[in-house]
Amino acid sequence: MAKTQKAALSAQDKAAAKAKTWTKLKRDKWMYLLLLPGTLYFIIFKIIPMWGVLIAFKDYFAGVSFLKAPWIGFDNFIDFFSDVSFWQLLRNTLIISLMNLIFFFPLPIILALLLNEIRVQWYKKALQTLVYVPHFVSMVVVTSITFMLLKTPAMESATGGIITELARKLTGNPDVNILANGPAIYWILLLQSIWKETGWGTIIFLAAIAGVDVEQYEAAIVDGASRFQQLIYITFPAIMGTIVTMFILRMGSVLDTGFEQIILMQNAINREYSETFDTYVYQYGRVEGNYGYSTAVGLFKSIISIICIQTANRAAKKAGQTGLF
Amino acid sequence: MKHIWKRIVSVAMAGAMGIMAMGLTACSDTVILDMENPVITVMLPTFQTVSADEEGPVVEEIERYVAEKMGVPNLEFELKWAANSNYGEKVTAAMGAGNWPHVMLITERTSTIIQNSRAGNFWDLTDELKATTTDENGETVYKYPNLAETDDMINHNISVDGRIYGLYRAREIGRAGVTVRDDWIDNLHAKGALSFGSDHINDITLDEFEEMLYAFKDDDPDGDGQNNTYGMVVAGADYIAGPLNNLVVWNGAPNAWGYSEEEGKILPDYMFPEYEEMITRMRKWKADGVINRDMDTFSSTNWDNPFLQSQAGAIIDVADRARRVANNIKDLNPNAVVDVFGFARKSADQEPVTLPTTGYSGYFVLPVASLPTEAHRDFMLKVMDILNDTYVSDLLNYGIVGTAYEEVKNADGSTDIKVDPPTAHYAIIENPDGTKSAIKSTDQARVNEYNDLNQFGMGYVTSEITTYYSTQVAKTVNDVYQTNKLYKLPNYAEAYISPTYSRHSTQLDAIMSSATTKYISGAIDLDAWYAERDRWLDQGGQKVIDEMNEFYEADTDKVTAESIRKDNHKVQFEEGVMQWLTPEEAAEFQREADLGPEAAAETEAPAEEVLEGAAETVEDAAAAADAKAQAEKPSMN
Repeated sequence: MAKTQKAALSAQDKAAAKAKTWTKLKRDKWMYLLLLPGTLYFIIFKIIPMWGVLIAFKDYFAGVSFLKAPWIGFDNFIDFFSDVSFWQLLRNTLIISLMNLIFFFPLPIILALLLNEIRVQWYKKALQTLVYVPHFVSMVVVTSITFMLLKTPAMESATGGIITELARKLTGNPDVNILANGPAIYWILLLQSIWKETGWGTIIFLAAIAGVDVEQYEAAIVDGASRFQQLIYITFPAIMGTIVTMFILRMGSVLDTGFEQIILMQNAINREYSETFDTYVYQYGRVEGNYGYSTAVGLFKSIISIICIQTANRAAKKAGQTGLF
Repeated sequence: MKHIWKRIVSVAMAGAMGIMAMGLTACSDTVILDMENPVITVMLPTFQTVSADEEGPVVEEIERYVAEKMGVPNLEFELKWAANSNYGEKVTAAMGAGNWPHVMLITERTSTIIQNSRAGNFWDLTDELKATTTDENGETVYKYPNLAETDDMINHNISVDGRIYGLYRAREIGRAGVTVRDDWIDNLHAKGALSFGSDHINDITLDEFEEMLYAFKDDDPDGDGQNNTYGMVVAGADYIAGPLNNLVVWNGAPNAWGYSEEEGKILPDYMFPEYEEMITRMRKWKADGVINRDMDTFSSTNWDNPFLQSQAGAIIDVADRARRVANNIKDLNPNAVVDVFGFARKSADQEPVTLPTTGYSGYFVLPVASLPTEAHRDFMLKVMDILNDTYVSDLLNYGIVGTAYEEVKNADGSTDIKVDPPTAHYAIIENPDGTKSAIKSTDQARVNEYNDLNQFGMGYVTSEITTYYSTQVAKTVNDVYQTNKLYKLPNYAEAYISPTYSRHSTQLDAIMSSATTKYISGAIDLDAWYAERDRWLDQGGQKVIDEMNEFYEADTDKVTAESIRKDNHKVQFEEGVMQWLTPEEAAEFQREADLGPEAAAETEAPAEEVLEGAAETVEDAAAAADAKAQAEKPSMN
């Protein structure tokens, strides 16, 4: 419809539209004023620094002028894709990220639905507050707790962490050392994320649930729907939009595995399984100062993110949901 | 109304421009050094929460001293501290922003540092360090007498393509050492569970070392009737290098890189059979519970704990760990006796081998951007030279000297040191052997005035003052340093930077440290370890080896078995340890010593003639050397 309208506009109409825009601007000037700081923020801190992306195409090192560094085309990208570590990094990043998506993403939704079913208000409120608490625990503390739970004793006569002791009893192997098992790091990272962030993740879904029209429930009760049927046929569809939005946003950061958590849990034995784009770029790009290379990796990640968001968005629209844009 | 709108926009734009302008100026903070009225910016790492204030009395005293010697009316240091934990990142960021101080400490030789060295962004100091000049009496003297004291081997270690771009901070070379429970050894010896007593540990062999570790576990060294002790604490994975490198070097493998006769090139230590032999031995120790079971993931931050809790009897690390452990164990177990020794030998009739450090901890570079002319460079070198005067190095390490001190017992049993006058930081005490030690004020306000200033010290000239320690083992630590130096095994490839390695070091190192840790802990067998080693070669290791050998071939001053032997034997000769010297060597060193070092250098060309002339006296000299060795021997024990 917008298209046909535009096509129908004559020059006269355009002038009229211009005047109309101006009156609108004038009328809502205070609104635009409010918009100004945000716009400036994006221009100064997000748009202008974008020219720095050019570094990805230059042979730059800290110490030469950015302008003087020679252009090298896609060398940094070729370097990255032909890196012996590339497939290992991609594998680890995808495994950690997809495990998060599959096992962690549904949990806040389920927890929110469960919390919503609690009828005793004070109990619900108390529980809600309690599940938020881990979010405020620093990652360093979470890591320390993990180490304590998984500690292997120094001597046969001593006792280790509770999980290690359990594993020792169950397997009968006195030398169990979960932290020294490479692939176990995937599960450790996942469980840490679940413990720490599930409760916090419920907030947005609880808000969505709170927005569901109460009359729908009342009508369902009149029709004789059970609590479970209400949940499946009313609550869940009502928050589907929120779920899809969250999912699309999550797809945008599919190559972001977070940095702090992994760096803290990393050791030489599990590095083969725990080194991801983020940790690698930190070490090679920032500490060693290969800014061009790390910018190239960042750019690659951004392109993949855009593709992922677009794909997820289209898929959502095809499936009859309202997408993000 | 319209003009209000305009005004808002213009104010906003001005604000935005202002922010951007601020951002841009922050980008380039380089100030070219003013030699008339110098304000010298220095970038340094901090370890303490409060670092010395540049307006504080210690820094001011250093400034006064340096200004006077430089002949300028006023000189100031502007200390740019950055936390040690991410210091490397800060250095890179400063260079990236074009934010050059006048002196900057480099702690890691990253690819950025190498690129900057090659690009000429740091002054090349190769020909400056030992430059000479003519003084007013017409005599040839060193331009920078303190900098001329720098060690050639360490200068070689910090070089890039054979050129020296910095002033290293000297560190103890013979620092490795084994901290042990002396009382346990004596208990076991008394029981007959150990074939030697604590007086033998300086002369221990690898087999005896193993015997000791087993006895620590099996024979109840603490005599409490319980099986609650084990041999040695080893930190695994990222930290395995500490104990492992010492053990393999004792067993005859190289220190990181060494020359393989069969292959005719330099190779990393894990390519050598002696390495394999040692890790197989450690695997047995681990399986028998002689090494802590949680070795794989044991972090070096907790290293002292099992020792302090009297669970483990030995730690292979740096010798000075013994000093700290001895201090801390007193509160937990007053009967514990801690001792330290430098090495174990493969067999009793073999010359010992010890693992040296690189001899430095970071180096100072002089950026060309902030010191654009040779005059600037020379000015800065002169300042750095003066900083090495013992007067300044004492200020950096201990603060301002007082006249007296007193110990004050607190109600809780701790002791405070009060120095007189109260503005001073330490007092000097005379030790029984005539040496002097600094006993420091415990007043925190005073300590804060020189905190972290030692990071600015280079230590080329040895001060007569040492830090005061109350324990006996602290003295032994110094003996260990001295003895270790006689038998050091340098890394053949220390100076070389392989591009592939600097690119993939984290991944490559992880493959081998992980494989070796797993092999020792019993998770994989030898074939799997070989497979991991092949993977190391595939993932870039072979390229690293090739690149390293290119450097090695091209190096005119390379490390060889011969050069190591000559260096060590010369030091041994100077220290009067004749046990391992051949008579010919002894004679040659004796002749050199008689001629004096300058004369020896001058007569280098006609050396053959001298040799022939000296040939008759070789036997006499050898006899003399033998007699000297005999005379010196008792003092060695």
